Amino acid sequence: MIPLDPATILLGIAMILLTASATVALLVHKHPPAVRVLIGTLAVSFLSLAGVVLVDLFGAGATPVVTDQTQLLSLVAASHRRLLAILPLILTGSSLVILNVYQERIAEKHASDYRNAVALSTAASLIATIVIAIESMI
Amino acid sequence: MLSWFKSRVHESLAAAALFAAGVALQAAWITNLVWFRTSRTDALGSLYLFVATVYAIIFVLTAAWCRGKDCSDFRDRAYHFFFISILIFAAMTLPIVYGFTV
Repeated sequence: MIPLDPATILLGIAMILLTASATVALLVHKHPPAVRVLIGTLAVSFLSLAGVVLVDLFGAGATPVVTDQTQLLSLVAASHRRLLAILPLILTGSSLVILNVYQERIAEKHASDYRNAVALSTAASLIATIVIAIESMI
Repeated sequence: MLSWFKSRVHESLAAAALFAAGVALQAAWITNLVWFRTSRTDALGSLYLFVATVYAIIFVLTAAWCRGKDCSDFRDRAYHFFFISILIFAAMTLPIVYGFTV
């Protein structure tokens, strides 16, 4: 059984909200008022991910249980997931700036690059969060 | 007058966010690689702080540079740089890649 600690709960919240954000990001082009929902979900995801990083850095998380066979793999996975946590933080932060600047006008034709950037950021953040979750189980 | 001001889009901020994200990701993997090669320690707290500082500085400088200019050409380049930066960061932060020795 995986022990529940603050970082696990925050990571779970971030993963659920990023899944919702990825879906909403695809709908923004057709339904511009969905931007408000997207800003809300991304903001909470950003705060959750920042919480995960803070808990991890200050060592408030659960003590990892490692055996001799998996010790090296666990260390490598821990190092990689802490490095990978930078990605969703930067991407969700940038998406929030873009969405707050453009608001509902992100559905306009000239903003297609920004719309694609937000969709790409959300998808990449979700993938990175899933990888972090898998690596934290090793 | 107020409604005209409110309806303006400050594209310089959005373009600066894209460019700063790309530069911060590049800075993150390069710094991690240099620290791993030189000291073989993972000072990740310092890395987070460094990346946040790089992001803030590049964001402010780019926003100031783009302010009042036509960003349509820069927007396209910034988006492609951002996309490539994500791919490079994902590849170069794999332990098997940055820890590779001959």
